[in-house]
Amino acid sequence: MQVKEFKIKWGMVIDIDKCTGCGACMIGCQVENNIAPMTKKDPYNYVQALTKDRDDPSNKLRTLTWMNIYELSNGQPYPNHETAYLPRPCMQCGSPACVPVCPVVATDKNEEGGIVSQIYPRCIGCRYCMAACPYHARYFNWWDPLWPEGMDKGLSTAVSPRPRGVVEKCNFCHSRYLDAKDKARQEGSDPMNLPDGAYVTACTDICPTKAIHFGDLNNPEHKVYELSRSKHAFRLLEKLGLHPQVYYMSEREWVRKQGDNYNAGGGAHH
Amino acid sequence: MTVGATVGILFTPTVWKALDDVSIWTQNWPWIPRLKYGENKAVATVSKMCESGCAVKVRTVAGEAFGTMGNTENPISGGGVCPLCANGVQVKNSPNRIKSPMLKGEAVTWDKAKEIVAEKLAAAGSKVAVISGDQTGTINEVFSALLASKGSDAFYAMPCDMQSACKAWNGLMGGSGQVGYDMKGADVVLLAGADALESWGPTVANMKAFADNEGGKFIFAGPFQTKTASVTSKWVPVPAEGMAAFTLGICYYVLQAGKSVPAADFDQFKAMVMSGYTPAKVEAATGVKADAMAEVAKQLLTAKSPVVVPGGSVGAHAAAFALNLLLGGGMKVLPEFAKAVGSAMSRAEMMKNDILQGVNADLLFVYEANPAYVLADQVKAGFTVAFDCVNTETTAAADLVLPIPHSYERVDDLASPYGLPQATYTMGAPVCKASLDVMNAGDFVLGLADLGFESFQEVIDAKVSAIGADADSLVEGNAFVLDETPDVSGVTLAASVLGKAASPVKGTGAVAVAPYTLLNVGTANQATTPNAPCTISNNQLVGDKLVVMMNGTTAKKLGVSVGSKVKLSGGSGECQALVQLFEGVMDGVVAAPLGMGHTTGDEFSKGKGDNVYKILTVSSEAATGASTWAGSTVNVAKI
Amino acid sequence: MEERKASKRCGGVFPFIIGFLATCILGWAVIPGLFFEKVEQPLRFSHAIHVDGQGMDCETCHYFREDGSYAGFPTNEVCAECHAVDPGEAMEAIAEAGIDPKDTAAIMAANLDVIEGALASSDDENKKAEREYVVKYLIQGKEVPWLNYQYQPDNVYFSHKAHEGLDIAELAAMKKDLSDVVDPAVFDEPGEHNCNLCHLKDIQKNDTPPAFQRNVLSGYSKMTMKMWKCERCHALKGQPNACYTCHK
Repeated sequence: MQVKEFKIKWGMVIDIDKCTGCGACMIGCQVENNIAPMTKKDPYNYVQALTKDRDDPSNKLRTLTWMNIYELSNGQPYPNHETAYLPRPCMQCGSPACVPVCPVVATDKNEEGGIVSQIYPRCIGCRYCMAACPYHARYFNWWDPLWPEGMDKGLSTAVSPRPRGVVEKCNFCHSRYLDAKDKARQEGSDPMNLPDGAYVTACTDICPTKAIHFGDLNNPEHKVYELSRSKHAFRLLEKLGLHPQVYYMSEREWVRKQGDNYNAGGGAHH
Repeated sequence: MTVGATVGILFTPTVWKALDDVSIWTQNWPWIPRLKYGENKAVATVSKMCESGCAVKVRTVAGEAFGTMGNTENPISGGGVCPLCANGVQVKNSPNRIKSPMLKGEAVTWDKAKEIVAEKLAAAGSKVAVISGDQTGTINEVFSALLASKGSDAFYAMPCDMQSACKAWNGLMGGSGQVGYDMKGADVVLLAGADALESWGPTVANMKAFADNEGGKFIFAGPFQTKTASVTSKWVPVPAEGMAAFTLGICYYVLQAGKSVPAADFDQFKAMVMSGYTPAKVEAATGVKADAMAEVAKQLLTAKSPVVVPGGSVGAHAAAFALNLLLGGGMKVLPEFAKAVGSAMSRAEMMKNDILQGVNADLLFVYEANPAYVLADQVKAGFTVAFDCVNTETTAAADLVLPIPHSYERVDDLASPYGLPQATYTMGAPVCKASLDVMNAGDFVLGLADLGFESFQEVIDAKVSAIGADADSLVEGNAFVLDETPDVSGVTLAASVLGKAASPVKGTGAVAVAPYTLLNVGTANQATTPNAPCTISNNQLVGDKLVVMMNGTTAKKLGVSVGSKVKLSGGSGECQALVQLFEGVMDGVVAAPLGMGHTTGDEFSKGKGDNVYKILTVSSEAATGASTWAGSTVNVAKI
Repeated sequence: MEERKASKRCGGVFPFIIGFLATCILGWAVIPGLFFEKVEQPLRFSHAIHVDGQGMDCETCHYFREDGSYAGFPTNEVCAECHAVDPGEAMEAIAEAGIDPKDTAAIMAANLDVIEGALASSDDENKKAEREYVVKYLIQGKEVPWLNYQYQPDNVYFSHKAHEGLDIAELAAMKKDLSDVVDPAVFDEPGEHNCNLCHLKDIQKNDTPPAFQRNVLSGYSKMTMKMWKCERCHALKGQPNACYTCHK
């Protein structure tokens, strides 16, 4: 598939040398995107005695972690061991593997800015896209989102809640982009030329070490423009040619090497 | 006719409209919540869920809080939030909140609660004690003033690094004020046991300082490659009980380089280090190579503004302070803010009592602390009154439980969280109305005794005017910063005590245990939060099983491997765990996460993992007499 | 024989046509109406009284916030600028009169000075609606659950700001293409505002709001604009029709 280019290319540059893997981005992401806590019991399930409990959050195949943190290891024994943490949002690939496999066009890359969209009411839950994505960035709603009693009153208006049976993923907090454009219009500035920082994702906002940088990769006035072009920048699995819009940075060579080391054995585990 | 009717209906929009509507109907099940729209706002306040507290902005839509974001204008946050406070609204709305005052499991009115406490207070005389889980709030002034009015000084803080620092600096070394560390301005930062970028001190401010520190070198020393160590330029493996000796070993090189301080006992200190803590001796006692210490010392000596940040025992703190004084770098001394309540204790006085040595009182107040979870054996009381907003082991065991508003529903403050380089005051006003039958603990206590204030709001107002801050600016979320340095001329190096205290003492178990705290897993007082469980790695928890980590050599020695089920026994209890191999743990050490194994609480924390506090051994540090968990060992048995 | 004929006729063209016509009539004229139930607005809000009577601008209640978002339905805070009943005082008076503060019917019947004195309407009918607002919502601190004729589900992100500049006179050129999307009558006498394009025509002159027509299956409004309508106009105007232009 051809690489889809847009005038604006929203992208991330994540500085792995600054990430401590604290998890604040993952929490901020869940709150922004109305991801329900993983409750075991379903009060709407009237045959509970006959069914198993819903999945446990330590089963990492069943979580809804649009932003997920992976632990990297240099593979050396004590005392030469080193670790690093790699936050993994959706890569918003320039040539996404998930889009052409979708039989119902529930996911597409067609908006200015290059964010890969996911439309929940349209998704039929076939999960072809999940199989296609080499970054494991897509998640399936195995269960209905159920907030413990009283907790559904404080929900974010940024994203619609999704029912069971559809696929979802990080969308760079896309409605914040729409909000930022509205704000620009209100202030009389150009919504198609937002200044650096006018639109950032929830994880970028909350990160205590400011390891996550967000902006327009095509705009020299945005910090990510320069960062993504630094000699320490790399992308995950670049050899697959999907042209991710998420870059990573590390001064550590072993970290950079693992970025393109899919299935090479050992190393990364959650 | 039926055929005609069927064909006919297909020529009308009915079928297609019905199909369309049904498909929409299937997308809007009644149990999928609908969103409520309105004005989006971000209101500044403080969050008290993590140990030091976060300066935050609570995001609201149509007046209803839904999320937490950082406060860029406040130096405690700089825009960031810790993973605990990031989930603050969800805890506020959690079904685990305490809904009304409870007397031995039965709901009672506030009037009844007040009557009971007043009666117990009158009967207890001076045998009243307070345990506070709040390290920074003016609420402690109210509690300590209540104690003072009863002639008691039994104020206890939960064990924390601020307490060790206070005991070392204000106690052993005769200093005044509070120690802080300029991690942003320093060019070499030695984190000597302080997991500063994950759980130690004002974590978010530390992380911000780390991020802003261009070109500065961070070195982490400790028994386990914590998350902090994943981003520092170097990890120096040092056993917890050897941290003081390791620090003095570095002092050796620094003294050798001719550094000195005008302290009264400098000569004695120098003689003690040069004879008792030579690199060879330290290496023999702690296993840390002399070369490693020489390398760290060299970096500190060549730095323009180095700083050593301690963690662990009182001895380790005193040693680090001595080293900082010798280096003359980024260690700061902060003045204490003026008190609001005249009869209240100073912070150093509040930190004086050692909770690990036991608490015994006729009437015990526990404020947002969970001693029943951390110190099950040490705390005894005739009648316990627990103030908290959520159910914990302590509220479950307390005689009377008094629900307080959540951080976002009450007026509260953060006065100089320990570790910040400047005296910093932040205030938080309520963002939303309390929806449960709660009362601010300050208001309740002020109703018990005449402390000169009618309400806790008045106390906060008095605090703000006492420190000379502008209330309007504080309400907007700005911090008030006091840029003064107290007189440190009388400080000594505690040479006589330190010589003995720094000598490593270790238990007799098969392996040492390195307990660690991750904020998404929870702290001593705050269990994990609703959205956090899926962020907890399988290196800490698999299913309901605790995971402990050790390196391959240790595992081999113990005859265990990845996934082995083991029983760890030490202290006065035992834990069950699964083994994970992680080469970032020292030989002969097992790293175990604190904060799990709750027996009370919501489904996200209850029954998850095991409580590592049970297997820690409390020992009394030589010469300082302070209690410490450092040097804890456990026996490991495969099950 | 007669019987056979009858049965044959039964399977003939005539019954087919009868059946066809019957369901066609039902399907076009009757059944579509059954899809909707009429729900009255929680209050009889008269735009006419506020706009004509009081000379208020649309923007007094329906305005853009500083962040560019649109304040659609006004909140109590806005209403209270004119309907100046202090909830605290009112509640005190209710307590003094010995009325349960939740019993709104009793409060309305009690004719309390603190409430009656603040009512601005002159005739009884309007006073009644105003009193209802004050008692049921304003002093209770509860927002009015207005029914949105243009309801859109949570997966739609509609920006009023982006559509602020739409000019009806300009769009009149596309009148034909838009005939299914917009009521053609809108183009007859383009007003000062472009709200008529999607909202109830000339709502500012309305005295008693029409009932909200709720779809019994989907719960949406009869006036909920379907996606193809949005897309048609976007296409005609050369605007993007990417999924994330409108969805969230």
